[in-house]
Amino acid sequence: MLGQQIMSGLATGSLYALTAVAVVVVFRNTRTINLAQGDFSMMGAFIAIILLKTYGLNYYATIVLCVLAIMALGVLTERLVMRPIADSDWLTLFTATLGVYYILHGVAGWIWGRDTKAFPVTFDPTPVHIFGTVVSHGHLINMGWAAAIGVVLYVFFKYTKQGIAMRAVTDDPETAKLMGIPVRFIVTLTWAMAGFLAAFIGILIAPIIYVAPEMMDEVLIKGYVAAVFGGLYSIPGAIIGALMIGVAENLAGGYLGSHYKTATAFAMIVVLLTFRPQGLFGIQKRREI
Amino acid sequence: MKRLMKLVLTLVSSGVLALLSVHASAANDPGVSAKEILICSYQPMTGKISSYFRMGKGADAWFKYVNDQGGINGRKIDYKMVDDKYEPARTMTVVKRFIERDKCFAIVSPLGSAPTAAVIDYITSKDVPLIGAGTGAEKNLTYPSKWVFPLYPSYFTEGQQLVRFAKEVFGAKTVALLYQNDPSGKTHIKGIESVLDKYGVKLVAQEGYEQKEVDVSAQVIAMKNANPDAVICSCAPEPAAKFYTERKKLGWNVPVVNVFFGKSPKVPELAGKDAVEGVYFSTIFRDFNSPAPQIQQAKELLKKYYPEEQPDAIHLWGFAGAQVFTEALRRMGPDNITRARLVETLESIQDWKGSVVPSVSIGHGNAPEHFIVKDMAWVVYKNGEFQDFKPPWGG
Repeated sequence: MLGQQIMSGLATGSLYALTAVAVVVVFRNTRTINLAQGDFSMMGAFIAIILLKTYGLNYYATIVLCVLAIMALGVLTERLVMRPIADSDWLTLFTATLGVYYILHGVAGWIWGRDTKAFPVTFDPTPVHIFGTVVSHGHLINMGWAAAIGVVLYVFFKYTKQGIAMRAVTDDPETAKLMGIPVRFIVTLTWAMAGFLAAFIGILIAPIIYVAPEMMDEVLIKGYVAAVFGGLYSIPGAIIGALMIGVAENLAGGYLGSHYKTATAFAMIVVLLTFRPQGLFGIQKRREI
Repeated sequence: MKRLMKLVLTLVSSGVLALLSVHASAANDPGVSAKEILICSYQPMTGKISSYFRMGKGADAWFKYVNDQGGINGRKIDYKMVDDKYEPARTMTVVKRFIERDKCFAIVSPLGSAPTAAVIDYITSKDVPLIGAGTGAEKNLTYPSKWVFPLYPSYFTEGQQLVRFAKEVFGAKTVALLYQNDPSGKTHIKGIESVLDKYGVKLVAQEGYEQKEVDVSAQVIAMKNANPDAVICSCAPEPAAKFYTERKKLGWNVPVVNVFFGKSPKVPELAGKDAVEGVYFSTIFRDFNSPAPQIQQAKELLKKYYPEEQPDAIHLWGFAGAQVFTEALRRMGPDNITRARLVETLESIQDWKGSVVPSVSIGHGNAPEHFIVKDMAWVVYKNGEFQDFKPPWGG
């Protein structure tokens, strides 16, 4: 039972992980907790349904178009909503993303209805056996994507010019600007990246949790907790945080009782922040006066 | 003199008529005008369990049909549905507006155990009839008030019948339970526990889930580990689908009986037909495949007013309450439309076969005597459809 609970926890954690990564990517470069991140994924899932069912596109063409559409949604959000208030305090930025969240919820419900829908492309239902435990193809693919995207983003931020520029903007936007880094472009790129990740998440997660306007609400909350757990600036931290939350929830649900399952993630974050306010992989920044 | 007499008579008679008309309109309760009756309903129009909004759509389809036929005794039904997201705090706000601001005549076919449990005290304290609420929670069904007309048997009764089903159909000596962590699930637990000894069945695992939970794998693994002979699933369609997917993934072929509120075409649609094959469901209405004219009419009305809807048992919950309400209204005649008379008229309905329920007989008294539907029925999902199933005791 222990092995299976851990494996299932990792599977659930992988659902949170990609969203956690997206939360971190946006936060690093814009100081914004993007509450609409989950809804970008939701829009991606609905668009994918349309492309697959109505237009009969194949799965991979759907992924490409969907990614482009949600990247455009991310860029539009930045240009129309976030850029005009870019110099505002964090609470204003946070509230603006809350507004986007509600708008996207409303638009999705209005266009596609509130009913839960099955995603037309499902993963191979044959379970996979690993170390005496069982995991579904869907979850396995999610875990693979979480790991792969984690590695790709790590390499991007560590070794590419744009990635280094993004990190410079994260560390000190003013100096970055003085050094000739196009900060505005970097911020736009960040939102495009948030859209890119969101589209993938939407398509990957939809067969598992089904498609509805509120499909990502719980995933976003857990993804956010995972991001905070990992330190909000750290991509590997967000992934590890998400997997830890998934496993801890399942162990609590399996051994302490199902009532403790949902509360576990929040209990973990309270305990962690008490002893390590900067999160698991965060760097404590001194506030300058 | 004759002319004077005529004038006096005319004046007196028009005065009497005027008084009578004033009296007639004054005799009607709030929400009733000369041309309309306002009735209200809280529904989970959005949120995790918005699939239950089908209940509201079912009722609405019926009222639209009634209005298209000219209404009842010259009055159209104004059916106002408001979204409470299945959040009890929100339901309270919605219902207060219904009664205090909108002056709703009655609450008809609303949905939800927790939402109804939150507002039933308030609704009855205002002497407003609550008809056909979609809830099986004990509090709502045993409420000591004449204003409450429950729709279907209590989850307590259903819980008892589920144990009997597990014992007599599956031959189970041990059962595990997956339940929704809210009043509906908790009432099922009470019903199940009350007859375990009677049927010689042991409850070896009981796992709860929250409505918004992303997955139920931890619960399913824990149940599998307890190795029960059968599983009782007190699950709504979406979590039920997640359970059947997980069960299939684990290769766990345990027999399952699901509560009636999880009987929905959404379950095989979301989980895949294979995952649900052979699962039994309790139910309270005839299936849409039934040739009964009332069921076929409901199907037609849904097609007409909600063409995007796939007919579902939950639509019939809405139809049942709405049809009983309009039948009572029809019997009340055009005048003196009061809430007290509505209750009296509902209580006079005996062996009425005009609705989607085979026969409606409502007793006198409080909620426990006022059930619109009294018995459970059973179906099994086989070869891609729900098929009627008769348990050994008849059912």
